[in-house]
Amino acid sequence: MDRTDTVTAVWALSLGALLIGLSLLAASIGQYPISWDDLAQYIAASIGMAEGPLDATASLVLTEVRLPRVAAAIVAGAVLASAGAVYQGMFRNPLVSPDILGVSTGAGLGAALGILLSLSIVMIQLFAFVGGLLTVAVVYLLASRIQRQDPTLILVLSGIVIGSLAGASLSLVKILADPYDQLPAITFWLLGSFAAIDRGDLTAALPACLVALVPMILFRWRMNVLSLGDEEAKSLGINPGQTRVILIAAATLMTSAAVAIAGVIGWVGLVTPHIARMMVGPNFSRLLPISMLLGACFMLLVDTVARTLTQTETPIGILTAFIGAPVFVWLLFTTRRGWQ
Amino acid sequence: MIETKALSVGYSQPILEDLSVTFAPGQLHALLGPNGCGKTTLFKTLMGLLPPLAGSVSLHGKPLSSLSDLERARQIAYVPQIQQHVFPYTAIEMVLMGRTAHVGMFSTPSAEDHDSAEAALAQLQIAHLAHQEFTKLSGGQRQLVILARALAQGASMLVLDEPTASLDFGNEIRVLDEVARLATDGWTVVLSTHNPTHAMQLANQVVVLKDGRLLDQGAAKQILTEDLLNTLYDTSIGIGSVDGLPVCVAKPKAKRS
Repeated sequence: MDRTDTVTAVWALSLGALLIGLSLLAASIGQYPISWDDLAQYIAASIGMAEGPLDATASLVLTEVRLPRVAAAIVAGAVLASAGAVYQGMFRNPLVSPDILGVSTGAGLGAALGILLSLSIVMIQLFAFVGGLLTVAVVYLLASRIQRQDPTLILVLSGIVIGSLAGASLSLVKILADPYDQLPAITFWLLGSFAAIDRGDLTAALPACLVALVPMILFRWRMNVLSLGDEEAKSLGINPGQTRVILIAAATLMTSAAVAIAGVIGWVGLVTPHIARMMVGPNFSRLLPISMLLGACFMLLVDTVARTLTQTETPIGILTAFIGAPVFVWLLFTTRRGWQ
Repeated sequence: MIETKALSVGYSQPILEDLSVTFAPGQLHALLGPNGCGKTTLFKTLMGLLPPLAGSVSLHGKPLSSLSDLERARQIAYVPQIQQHVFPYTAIEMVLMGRTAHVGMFSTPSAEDHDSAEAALAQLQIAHLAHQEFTKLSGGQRQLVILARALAQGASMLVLDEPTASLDFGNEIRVLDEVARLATDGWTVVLSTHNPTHAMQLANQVVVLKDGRLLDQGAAKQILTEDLLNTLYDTSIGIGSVDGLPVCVAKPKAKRS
């Protein structure tokens, strides 16, 4: 076990402990506060160690509202962070993320269409996935057709262009939406929110996330080789094409699943892989789990703040931007060296 | 053994045409030619990164086109010109990536792979760099790490594109000594260089390219004459000797007699 493995283990344990602590905190605070005693009894009862007359309201709040929401925030955070880590590696570009590539907006457009057509949550996810995949394909093709000196910049610019096109189409969908029923849903959800999460949403999104996680884990070594670029990967013995397509599709599927349940939440996918890389380096075997834990902690914290800060819910996308933007500026100052 | 037959290379237009050469095991081959004569393009074609426009390439008698990326990587390793790398992998991680052709599709490098990577770093006397970030190393150190990666690849043929281009005077000869030793050990080594002195001192065979054609090829001592070098570089070149070693200088206009 070398030094980096020890560092990784320490980070993983610390972040894991932090995540558990945050989860307990998030489960207890809210509009209907739940005491630590009630929470402890609920946990003991649910693992069969105690059967207790837990307060019926507390139990209902935890089972139907609080815990699905905590779980959704964890899943969305982990998923957006791992998608970000994959995009950054696959495009050899530390400046890309689901939101900058326009994938989130593309998936949002697909999902909004789904809402407009009053489809089921599974179909909305499918629409989101198709929207996200189309966006990333168009962005990538556009960027690879424009042969310029600075591919990093061109990729980011293509993402912005296609993302804003998708954004405009989204506005069009909003105009067409029913102003009393669909429009508020679309608008609120576009800013990102876990307010409307129920257990059904969670069970619909989880399979897609787990399926997408499989290639990321399987190809964890090849991810590193592919992040060196096509020519080096090929001369080292890998045909980059197929693996890259599979991984980009997996990252897009994850993003779409998160978008379908929680709306468009920016910055997490850009910033968390950076911070994870500062902690444990770029090796994907370590980067993936640490990014996931970090993204989960961050999202859970932000969501808990979003629902307790004021009387009304603050859309989470607003908070992630307020936190993510300054953090990213700080990252630009500190990590510029590696980005020539 | 690398063989080319009537090979034309280029992107859409041929840059280098009708090249038939053989690079044999146990020999150090130097490729000489002015800027833009197609050395890098030729190497990319030998590595299967660029399809030939005409003719064929074979490795140990097997057509290159019949080998998968993995099969090819187990036979031939490539040290490209200095590349820009984005992510701060450590030196040992970079060298481990040389083991990719021996790592299963869904696996990570084994203890054995780690041993090979460490041995490759030790062979080039850069074991102390193992845990430093590759992107923070100097150009010369990065070149040595990439050479170590090629050594770890478990191949028997090595292609180096201007391996000494960014090295200081001392590192230049250190890298070349290592490369020459590989040839003595039986590797097939091909390198391109802009320094005819290197070719004269270390190469067994030279291939001289100019204007998209093979100008000459053969034993270094026989064909690298002042006349040939004058033609090759369109300037005035003198060959002398230091302690019995051939040395080649391009003469500045003001000092020509």
